[in-house]
This record gives sequence, structure tokens and C-alpha cells, in this order.
Amino acid sequence: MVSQELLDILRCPNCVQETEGLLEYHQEAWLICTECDRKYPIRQDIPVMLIDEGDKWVSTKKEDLPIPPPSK
Amino acid sequence: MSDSKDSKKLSEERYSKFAQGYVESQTHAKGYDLDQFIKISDPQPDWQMLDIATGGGHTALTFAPHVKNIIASDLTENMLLAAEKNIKEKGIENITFRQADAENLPFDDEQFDLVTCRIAAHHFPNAQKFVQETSRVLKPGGRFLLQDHVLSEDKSVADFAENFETLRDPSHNHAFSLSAWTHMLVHAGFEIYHQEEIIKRHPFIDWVKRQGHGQEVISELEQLLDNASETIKAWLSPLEWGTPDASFVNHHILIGSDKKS
Repeated sequence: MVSQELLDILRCPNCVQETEGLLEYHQEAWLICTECDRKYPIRQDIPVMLIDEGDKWVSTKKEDLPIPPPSK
Repeated sequence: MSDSKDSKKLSEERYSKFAQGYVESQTHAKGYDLDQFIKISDPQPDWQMLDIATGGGHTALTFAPHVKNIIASDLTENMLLAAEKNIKEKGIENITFRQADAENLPFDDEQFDLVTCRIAAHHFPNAQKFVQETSRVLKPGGRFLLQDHVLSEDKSVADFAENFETLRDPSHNHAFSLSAWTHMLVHAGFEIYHQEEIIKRHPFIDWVKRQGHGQEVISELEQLLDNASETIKAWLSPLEWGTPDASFVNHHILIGSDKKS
């Protein structure tokens, strides 16, 4: 479980430099960018906030994301 | 794949492999420079801190009693897991981990009072972008402490030192001279309030082996320095060279800077 206070300051690394890059917390397992739709997995309580990782899931629908996210 | 991506991938692969060695490394875990980090940053109990490229987690661990919360980031999952294990075993609860790239930080603007990055920036393909990102996530007046290898302002010495490091660690990307760091920091809106050179003597064989090499690379490096100019030898200051007790120094810079309000 990732603390809400610390999630609040997380942003999409791809979007935050230009816009807001706000993230939606999904099923306590994913962070989804509300702008570019990149999806960042949370593995072993560590959010993987790498643009390349977000890219891998960009075309996967939210409801199809595996819970928990697969290990690397 | 771009050069920058190749380089990040190489760092990730190598440090996945050697993660535990860096958690256990006494060079990284203790020493004058970590004490100096505390002294010159003057951490406050209400501070939010970010430790970029936390490696074995040593900087985060040192600051944990002095600040409110620390986010420790690294590009490498295995490095984070090793650091997390080390920190949990010590019962520390105010450090959390994020897998992140120093050049694309996943944080909102102006969130941190202190950002640290210790002995890691030489892996980053784009150091200026890392400095810009650090500036973005710091609050106005926030503090940035950077320690890294520093190059001589003499180009021939600098080129040799870079080559020497890269042979041992191919993910070594680029170290900079003090004048180059100063330029990058000022350009990103920082004011430097502290700078000092730290000279570290390393047992040569351990230093090479920590990156998984054997006798071949040891011999290659030995020979390289044997044939180097006197100016280069003066910079690396080898002792008992060619013996199992061989050592040499590398030069670090520690820079304290504040983001202009």
C-alpha cells in the first residue's frame, strides 16, 4: 500500500514538464496518466515511474490491466 | 534505440547485477563526505527530501533521522529492492522508494526542500537535464547537494581519467570539471554556496572487482597507468602499483547550492 500523501506529489514523468501529468490510482496497483494514458505499474509497493515502462501499457485498456502487475 | 536509452539500459543492467555490493560497500556507506552532506545542508525536521539515484540507500539512511520524509529514487529495480531491504532491516520508516529516471522526475513542481545526488551523476546521459529537473522539483530557496567524480580542468588528464573509469565501468557516462558543473547549476537557477574537492583513495583491486571484472581488466588498467604522463600520475596518485595492495585516488566534488527564490 502506497501512502496517499506521497502519491499526491507523483506525476507522469512524460507530461509533468509541460503540463500537469496528473495520475489516477487504479486498484492500488497502477498509476494512469490522465493526459497521455501511459500506465505505470506498482511492483512490491514501488511505483515504476519510467516513461518506457508507461509506454508498454499505453494501448492496454484500464480494465484489462493485470492485477497485480506482472514482474519485469 | 538512442544512445541515451542504451546508456540507461547499461546502467540498469550493471547495477542490477552488483546491487548488493553497493549496499555493502564501505566507501559508499560511510565517511567524511556523508558527514559533510549533513553539515552543509543543515537539514530541518519538517523537510521533504528526494535522494536521486539512491544506490545502496546510504545517503537516505544518513538523512532519515534529520528530515520528515525521504523519497529515494533509482533507475534500477534491483538496486531499490536491495536498498529497501537494508533500510527496513534497520527499522527506518520515513523512506519510500520510487523507480525513476533522474532526467524525467515523476514529481510535481516545487515539492522538495532538499534534493541530494551522491556519486551517480556520471551515469546520466544528460546531466544538464538532470540539473533542470532537480531545479523544477525543488521549492524556491530549496537546497541541492551534489557529489560526483570531478575532472581535472586539464583536458589530457580529464580524458585519461574518463577512459580509466569507463574501462572498469562501461556505464560510466561522463564526469565534469568544476567549471562545467558551475555552468550547469547557474544555468538552472542555482546559487552555489559551498564547494569542496574530496580526494578518495581506493584499493585498486577491490574497486575493479566490484564491477565484476577479473585479471584481464586489472592488467589493462595497470598498464594504462604505467604508461601515463607524470601529470596524469600526479592526479591519480598510484601507490604500490602492480601489487595486490595497489591503490589510487579519485577526485570528487561536493557542491551545495540553493535554488533562487
